[in-house]
Amino acid sequence: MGRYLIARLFQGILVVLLISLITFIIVRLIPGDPVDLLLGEGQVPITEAQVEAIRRQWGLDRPLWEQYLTWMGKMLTGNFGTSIIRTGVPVNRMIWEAVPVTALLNLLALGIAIAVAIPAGIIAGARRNSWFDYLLTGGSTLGIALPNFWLGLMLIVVFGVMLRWLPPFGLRSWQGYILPVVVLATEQMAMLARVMRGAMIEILNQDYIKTARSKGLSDRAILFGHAVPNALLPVVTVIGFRIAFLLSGTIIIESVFALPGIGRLLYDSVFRLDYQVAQAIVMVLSILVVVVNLLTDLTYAAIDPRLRLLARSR
Amino acid sequence: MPMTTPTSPVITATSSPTATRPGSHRPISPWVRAWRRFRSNRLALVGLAFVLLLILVAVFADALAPYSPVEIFAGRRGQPPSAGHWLGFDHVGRDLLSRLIFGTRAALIVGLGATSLAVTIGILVGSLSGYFGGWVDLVLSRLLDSLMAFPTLALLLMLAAVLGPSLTTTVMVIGLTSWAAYARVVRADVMSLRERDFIMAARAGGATSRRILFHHILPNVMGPVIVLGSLGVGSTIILESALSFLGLGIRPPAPSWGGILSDGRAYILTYPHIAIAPGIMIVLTVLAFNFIGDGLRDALDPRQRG
Amino acid sequence: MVYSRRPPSGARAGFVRRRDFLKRSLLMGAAASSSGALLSLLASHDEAQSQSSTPVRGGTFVAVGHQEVPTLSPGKAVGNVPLFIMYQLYDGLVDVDENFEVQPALAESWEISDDGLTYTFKLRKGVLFHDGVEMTSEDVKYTYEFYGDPESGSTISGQAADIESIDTPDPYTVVFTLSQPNATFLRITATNYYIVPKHYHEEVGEEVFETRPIGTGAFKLKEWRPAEFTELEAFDDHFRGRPNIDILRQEIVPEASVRAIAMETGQADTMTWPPLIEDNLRFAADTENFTTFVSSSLSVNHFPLNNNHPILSDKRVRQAMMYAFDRPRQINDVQQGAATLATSNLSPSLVQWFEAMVTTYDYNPAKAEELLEEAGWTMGSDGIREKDGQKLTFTCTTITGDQARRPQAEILQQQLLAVGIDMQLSEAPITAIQTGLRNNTVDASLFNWNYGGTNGDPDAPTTLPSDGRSNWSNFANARVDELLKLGRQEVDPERRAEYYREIQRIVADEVPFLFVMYWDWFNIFSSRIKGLPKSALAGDFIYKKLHEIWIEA
Repeated sequence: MGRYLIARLFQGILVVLLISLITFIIVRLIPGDPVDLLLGEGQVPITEAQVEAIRRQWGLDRPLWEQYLTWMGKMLTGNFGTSIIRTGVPVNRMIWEAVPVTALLNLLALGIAIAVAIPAGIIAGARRNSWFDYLLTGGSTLGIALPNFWLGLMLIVVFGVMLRWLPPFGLRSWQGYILPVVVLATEQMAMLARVMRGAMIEILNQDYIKTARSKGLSDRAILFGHAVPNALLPVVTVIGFRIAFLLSGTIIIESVFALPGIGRLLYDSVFRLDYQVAQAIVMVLSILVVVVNLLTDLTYAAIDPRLRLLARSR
Repeated sequence: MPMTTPTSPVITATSSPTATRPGSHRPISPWVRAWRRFRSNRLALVGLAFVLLLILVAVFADALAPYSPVEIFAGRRGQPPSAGHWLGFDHVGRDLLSRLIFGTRAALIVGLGATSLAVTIGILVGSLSGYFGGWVDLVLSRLLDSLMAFPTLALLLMLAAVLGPSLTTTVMVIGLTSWAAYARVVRADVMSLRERDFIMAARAGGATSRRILFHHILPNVMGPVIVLGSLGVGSTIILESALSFLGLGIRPPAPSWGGILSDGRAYILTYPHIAIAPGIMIVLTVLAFNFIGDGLRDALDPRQRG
Repeated sequence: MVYSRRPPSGARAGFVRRRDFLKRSLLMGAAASSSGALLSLLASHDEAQSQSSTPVRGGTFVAVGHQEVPTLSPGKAVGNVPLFIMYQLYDGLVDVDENFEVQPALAESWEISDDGLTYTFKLRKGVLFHDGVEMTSEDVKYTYEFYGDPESGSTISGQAADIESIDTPDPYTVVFTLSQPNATFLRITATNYYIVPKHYHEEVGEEVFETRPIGTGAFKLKEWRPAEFTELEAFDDHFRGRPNIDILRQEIVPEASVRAIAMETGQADTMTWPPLIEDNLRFAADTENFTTFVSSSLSVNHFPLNNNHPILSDKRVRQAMMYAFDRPRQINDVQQGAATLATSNLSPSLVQWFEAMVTTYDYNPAKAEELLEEAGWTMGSDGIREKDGQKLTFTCTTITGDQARRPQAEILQQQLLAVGIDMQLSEAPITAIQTGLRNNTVDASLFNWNYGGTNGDPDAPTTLPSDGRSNWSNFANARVDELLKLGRQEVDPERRAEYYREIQRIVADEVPFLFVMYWDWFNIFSSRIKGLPKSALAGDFIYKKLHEIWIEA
């Protein structure tokens, strides 16, 4: 187990390095000059000396490889530099201010989704073709088909404007979390319930379950002793790779609901060529995903004893 | 090390999926059988009919659309549905129904094109990685990890900012960034399948890797891939509208549902009908593909037959 | 009626009539010379709202803006949303008010020497910074020297380039000596340099200062979360007297529709960046719940045309495009009529500098075709003109996700096609477009930009000179370069105006870019806000007067 863990960690670091290089290159390829944004639209005299001084301040005058190494060097010490656009603010602070919003949003959504979808998927899978199954299948099919930002806008119109039960935007109070969490959770719930149900049906049709049943095991024992643990396998995979997807979802949802999270920060910085911030966020997100993937694989391995992870014979 | 103990006997003991014995005793072809099973699923038929209808609409858009999708009617911007214009006008004064009809093309091209691209790459990478293991798996898995670790939209956002949006860019970018999910599922399935007795038996019987992969393993992983792929068409269409929402969709003034939706998003309070119609079309189309996917799963994946 | 979608409410009707009258007279070219007067009429809101009661103290005023406030440094803040905060935190030596009048601020009075080289400011006594220390001439000198140095990285250093020396004969007198006459000194430099306390700024440095600022403004910083909100509180010892409201808060809401909802549900008192035009008009019509100021934007809505492009470098092609372009229709279709037709590079709200007698381009496709024929472009079989085997085609790159303006390009595309010009469309982020225009990789674009008019001054130092950094059309005209130089050095307003009028005539004739319109700029307040100015030519500058307003109980 220890060796496996170390190997996976090493692989994770490789992935992160690869991503840092790709991100750095892609961000620099976005055409444009951030200095234009700093100077704004005002019709006031701008001197060349002024433009050069600004470029120098941000190291934009140095060769790309040097900028990359400087950035990587700083990053190793946990320093993401300072934002070009938000002039005085360290990127670390910007990220730390945005992370709690995104984290809470996603954890709440994922938590609700898991809490609802897994039991619901199990019941529906076990009682196939019952009214509950139809309800869940219908609901989750619809949930998957709804574009999340469209759902968000419709909810804003209904609950924020027509009924005025909830704040339509922002995070001035905890109620501000309700609509975005509902939107994100809906999507996750639909996906997870569908996968859980599918996995249950698949397992329950396996011959060994039939064998177990013929041996006189109780339904309950079959369900929780064999079916559910095996059916969780694909669900764990799905949850694992949904993490990255979930983070993508927040980019849109945060901008619909005007939430000051990581997603909106990323969107803003990509469009405003705030290199330092865009790079830093992609790095933080990818490290997070790498860690989650690692955990997923470990869980996967723990749940499915069929996989002999170290003894890859061929 | 608990993980390296011999495999649990429960699963490997008896299973030998039916699909691996093609045509042993069949009076009718398996495709006919599959079609019969598919046909018995009413929702799947409804979905199929809807998608066929969409394809017809896309092909004959010029004849079907009452107006040109880019013709601007002066002074009628944002007008709600009326007798002559069933869906009303968009925020510039173009006939929404006509735009919606022409938008079918973009939706189908992006939805089917990007998904096929992603599924193909995914199956290829996943099965190679899962079957051969070793360094092949190591290299492909790191590639896969890197891709999976990129939040899709962040990558799409940056790529689209570099390349500039267009229909081709959208298809390629979505296709090239979303195959990882398929690859991962295929890889996991293949890894677990290759340990099974019937594969062992085939291998012992002298079958080549190629034969085992294409005749024994792939048919068994197609079920989940088709299910995922069917959902994939839907989520690709949603992803396209998300890209448009973020301002990186298909090049204007070519109509796409995502594009209309993102136009309508800005006008959700003043002209709500703009966002509602393409939103509903997206939901219906995604639903239709999902129904088809369910039907296909029931028809093609014998493990899950009721 | 050209103008549809107007609800027939009584109060509304008055509003509409004025506007329609204005619009029609401008469109027909008649009464254009009096447009300034009309605009100020249009800008005054309904009298019913300005009925004053006794000011009430207390309450929180909430504004919603669209973009974050990236810095609180007076040397770096650009854009409406950050400037909204700057107006509250700081003061300059002088100020330009909502009617473009220069008003005393930290300086009580000033004198300009006859040669235009020496500016002497007498400072107000007893002005306190937020930390209770008195503001003196030392602080003024320090501020100009710090932010005037390009190495500070400030965005305003270029404005101080003409300052040769700053003297402080006594704590309440500052004397600026310029190296050459600079007619923009009062309106631009002396207004835009917000005075910071030397003792504090020197001690903590710019990096700390821009996150924990101290100024002389009516409000002081309470909490700043760049992407979420900025919260200010009343400064008890402000030199104009304590403001009536206690808390002033600006929230960042990127979605236009969501800002409109905030306004509608009473969660916001004003929008520092307007929502969609439809929402603006809806609020403007609802005189019961909202007080609306309509002024004319200073930035011209235009299609920059890269004058270095082989096809677009021909003046006749550019003029033909103006004739083929039904601009009034665009104003109606895209802006709901809420805009003024552009005649050249300056907005008619700049009454003092505006030139009405310029070449006009009434919609005339026949004339456009004539000009194109004259330029040697003959109609091809596919409906696209050609010359020497080359097609009359170019690409217009609009800003990614620009819902408000993109339709304009789509409409223009159709109209140009009608005369045989093929304009392709593509999208890119604004920074890519700007760099592309500069490097000649982008042919044309569409956005709003200021070609003179900042703080009511007609100078255009970056957009019109042939070497200007923001000369998006790569427009090069020796006479314009000369006129800009003359205008900048001429202190007499009357003679100065002549130079800028000639520039407008040249721009109108040369068509360096397709000037379309000046948007109506809406500044909307909740009707519970009282004590607002009666009218405004520069709506955003109303936000400089928030220390005067109060919230009705």
